[in-house]
Amino acid sequence: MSVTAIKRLDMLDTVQPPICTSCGKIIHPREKAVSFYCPNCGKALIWRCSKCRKQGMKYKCPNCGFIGP
Amino acid sequence: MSEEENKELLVSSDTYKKAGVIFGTQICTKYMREFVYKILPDGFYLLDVNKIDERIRIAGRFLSTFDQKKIAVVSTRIYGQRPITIMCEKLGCKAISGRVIPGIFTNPNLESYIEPDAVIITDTRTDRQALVEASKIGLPVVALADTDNKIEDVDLIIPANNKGRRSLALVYWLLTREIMRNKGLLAPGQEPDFTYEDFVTSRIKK
Repeated sequence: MSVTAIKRLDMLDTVQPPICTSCGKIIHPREKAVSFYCPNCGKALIWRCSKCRKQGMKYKCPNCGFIGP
Repeated sequence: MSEEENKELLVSSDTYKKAGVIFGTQICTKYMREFVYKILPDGFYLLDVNKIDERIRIAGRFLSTFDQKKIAVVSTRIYGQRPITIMCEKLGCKAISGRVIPGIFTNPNLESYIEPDAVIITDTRTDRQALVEASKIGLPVVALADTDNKIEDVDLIIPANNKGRRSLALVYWLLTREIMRNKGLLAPGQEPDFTYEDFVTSRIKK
């Protein structure tokens, strides 16, 4: 691998951090978040951060448009 | 409701009404307002039958994606204990009836410690301990919610009357049937060998 290729590597290119489906914020690894496949279609992975769960924020499936909880 | 609309429901809307699934309380939280059909003159809220039916279908589909042995069903309410026990007999999931011992999901030193993949909760207020512990370890929570329930830490709501014995029996019977159909244990449209009456708790004498 060339030197230029190494320089271009970014943290976000190699590691995709989970993003909350409701608020769009990056979820910290130690946060008490939950992940599950969409209850309706079962295809899209939905992440919910602890704050959104606590406040009962709605989430929308990007695949089928199901709105929960 | 017309017959055409009835055909789309899991059971007829009269069955839902007779079992009292649609009857809410005189209190309605903001979260549950979208499931309300109308308000009676005496202040009682009624839940929408179509939304109840739709959510039971979705919950059945969602829960069938998990291993049956890894589903925990919680009910502190007395009228919910028989339905969950029979549901767990039929499906092989874990029933937690009566008092929830603190640490049941979080403390490995306990004898009653279990590690489920999903949790079904009968009432978010009375089963608060199980709900908090499930949120601590990041488990998806499916909860029955009446009009007066808060939906903190809940990932899928099933709007229903969670106080009546017939209501709880019907909801858990439908849920069991839907899970069995989605798992392939029953053919689509096939009825199970147990009935809704088997899930009903006998009336408690005072």
